[in-house]
Amino acid sequence: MENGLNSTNRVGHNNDSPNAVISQPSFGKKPGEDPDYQFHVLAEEPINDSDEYTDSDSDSSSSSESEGSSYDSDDEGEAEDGIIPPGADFADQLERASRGKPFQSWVQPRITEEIRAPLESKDLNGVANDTVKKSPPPTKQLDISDLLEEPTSKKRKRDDDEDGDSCNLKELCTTFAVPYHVARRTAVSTEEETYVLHVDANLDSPDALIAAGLSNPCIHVYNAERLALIAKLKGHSDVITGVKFCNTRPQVLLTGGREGSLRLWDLRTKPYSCIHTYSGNEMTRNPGRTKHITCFDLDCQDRILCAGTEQLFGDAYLLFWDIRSTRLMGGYWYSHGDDVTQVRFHPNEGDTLATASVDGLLNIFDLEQNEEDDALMHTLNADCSLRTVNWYGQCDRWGFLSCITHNEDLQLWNRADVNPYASFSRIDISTEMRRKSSNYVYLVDVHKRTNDELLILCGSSYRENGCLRLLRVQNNRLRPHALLPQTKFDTQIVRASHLFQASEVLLTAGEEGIINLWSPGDPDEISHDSSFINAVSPSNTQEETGVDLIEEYSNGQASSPESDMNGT
Amino acid sequence: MSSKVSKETLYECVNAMLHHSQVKKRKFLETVELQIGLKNYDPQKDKRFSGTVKLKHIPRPKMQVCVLGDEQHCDEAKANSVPQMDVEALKKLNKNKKLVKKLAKKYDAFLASEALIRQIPRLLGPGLNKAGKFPTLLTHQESLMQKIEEVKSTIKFQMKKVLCIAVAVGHVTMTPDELVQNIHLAINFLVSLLKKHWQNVRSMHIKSTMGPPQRLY
Repeated sequence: MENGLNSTNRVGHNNDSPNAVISQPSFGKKPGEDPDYQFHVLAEEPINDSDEYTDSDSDSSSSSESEGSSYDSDDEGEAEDGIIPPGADFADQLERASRGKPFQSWVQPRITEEIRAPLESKDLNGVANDTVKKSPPPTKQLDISDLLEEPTSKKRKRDDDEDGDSCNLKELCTTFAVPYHVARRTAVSTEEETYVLHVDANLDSPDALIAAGLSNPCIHVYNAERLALIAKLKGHSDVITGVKFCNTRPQVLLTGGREGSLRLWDLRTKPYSCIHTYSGNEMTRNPGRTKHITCFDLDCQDRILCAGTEQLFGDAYLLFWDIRSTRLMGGYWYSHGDDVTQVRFHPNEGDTLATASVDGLLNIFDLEQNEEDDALMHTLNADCSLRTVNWYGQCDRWGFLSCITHNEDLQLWNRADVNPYASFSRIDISTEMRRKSSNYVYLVDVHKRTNDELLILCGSSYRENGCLRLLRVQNNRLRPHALLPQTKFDTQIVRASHLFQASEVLLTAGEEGIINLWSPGDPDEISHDSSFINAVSPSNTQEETGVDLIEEYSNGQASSPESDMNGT
Repeated sequence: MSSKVSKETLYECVNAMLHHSQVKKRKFLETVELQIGLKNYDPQKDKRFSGTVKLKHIPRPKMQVCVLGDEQHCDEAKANSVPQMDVEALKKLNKNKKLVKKLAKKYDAFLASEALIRQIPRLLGPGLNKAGKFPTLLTHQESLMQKIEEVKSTIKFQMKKVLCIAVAVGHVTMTPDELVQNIHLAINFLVSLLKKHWQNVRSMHIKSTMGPPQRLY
């Protein structure tokens, strides 16, 4: 039985300096490619003996999962152009506080021989070199875990109420191969109870922008590279129910509020103004009655705007506006029996719309038809109240849908089918996440990668020992993909996320009002000169072979993750 | 998952409730409901509390299920005296909204064969959707009666505007054991979907339709 880390490997509470001593590999080189990389790390890092960490011999996740992460203190909240974003002060405080805190180590990994040895050994199925190449990321993961807080309590009162990892730390870091870390962080406000519920981003120049919709009716616009606040858009009077940049004009932002109106904002010149407000109250059916909007979407050519509403006197509406003329074109109200929770236009077919509702149905409409009855093409019964729906494609065929239910299950559908071609329950997901209990698992969203695989953002809301992880759907199977280690300042229930396609940078935001940009790959490569959001992620191309090799290795060793999980 | 409601309390309350229902017998079969009062929960901001829970014992035995089947399923349904309709019968409705609405009102749930379920939007229009009774898929792999059992045991729950939610968990002619099992399952499942688990629960009661509520927590 393999133990976790020995006590000598743990980074203790005596840090030398918060700044990394590692020499930085040149930007663009993948960690494995630089032959000197590993030696840089070894040579310059003092080995730290810590007496404070007592390693437990049991495999059942004695080490806590409340993670630390390496933190690029330079990039946070600084405004080179003179605009001081409100978040900057908070970030500075964060930084100062973190430097003082004994258990928050900003030092880069301290890698000792003992951790290195097994991964560098030459008898790994004869693929020694490749595995060694891949080892820096896993070992870094390991060491990020060195920055973890002490486990809060070893006393377990009642086993079944708890949550934690189902395998030891080393196993965890090897299984989740992609080393995400926080590259940028900001908080929306210092008030309690402001949730960030929606995010969207665009990458088109001149400025890559991120928009965040909050639970106080306000929208924050950030510069994406620096995560610096640019503006706050006020105008809605109720919780924000969606933010979306227009597809063809990325400087135009659409936002929706629960009070039943949608607003179009022009972000080209300051002050940002609301160009138009769309309202559903002009509907001839129940006119004047507020139809609370729960979601909206824009078609791929920016012609039609569709919003879904809550149920009003038995009718759940889908409202349609012509964007340019701002005319309310009409609505559907026969196809759903309960609140509509998400509407999504097809990414390529401008007239195809998918809608999801609390009644458990996924409806697919062809909007070219005149009547609602004729427009309803398919109804897919997910048999459980749905929270999100998303289109995705495989090999350029875009007729697939992913949906998340309120039971925290995931279903994958082909739109012409009668039942999902893959379905993952909350328990399946918690198993792949390597968690003990499925009672705290929640799903955030499903993202598509450039190689057609799906990434599922999921987490555990267990207070003492939560987590945030990415799972990958590959060949219709769930696989672990990445750990997103949350520090004490990041821990929150994530409600919204966005994946930047090329770089695989992940944007997350949640109930504590914290917005994070997670970057895969080597933390040292992030500098505030480079545009890390636009860079092509090293893990994008390298990762697949890496994972296969790791799997080969683990299969060859006859210790698959599943069996290890049960406590070797 | 351990529960803040002990088995003793459960049995006590269930027995008390059953006793009441015996004392004053009603002319209909009373349903037993689990009522949960929530707290520390903001319905505007927090995630919606909604979904389905599958119970071990059928809580509503009088639920009417209709099979919309292909030949094989229709034969099976006839053999088991389950109401059924085939494609021809559906075509006769001619997408008439009123007739479809009537059909939806007549039954509590529908099951449909694969071939048929695809055509529902074309044959019937959105009438079943609106009624919340769109059919569940019925494959040839499972037995019809089994699927019907499954459908009858699955309960939807949803928290609307008020911070309170009620779920049907049984009826008064079930044995206490069965009721306790169902209630225990329902409690654990529902609490696991809440953000703060037991911190979000203010109170819990079980109640038969006409009887007084019995407090569990």
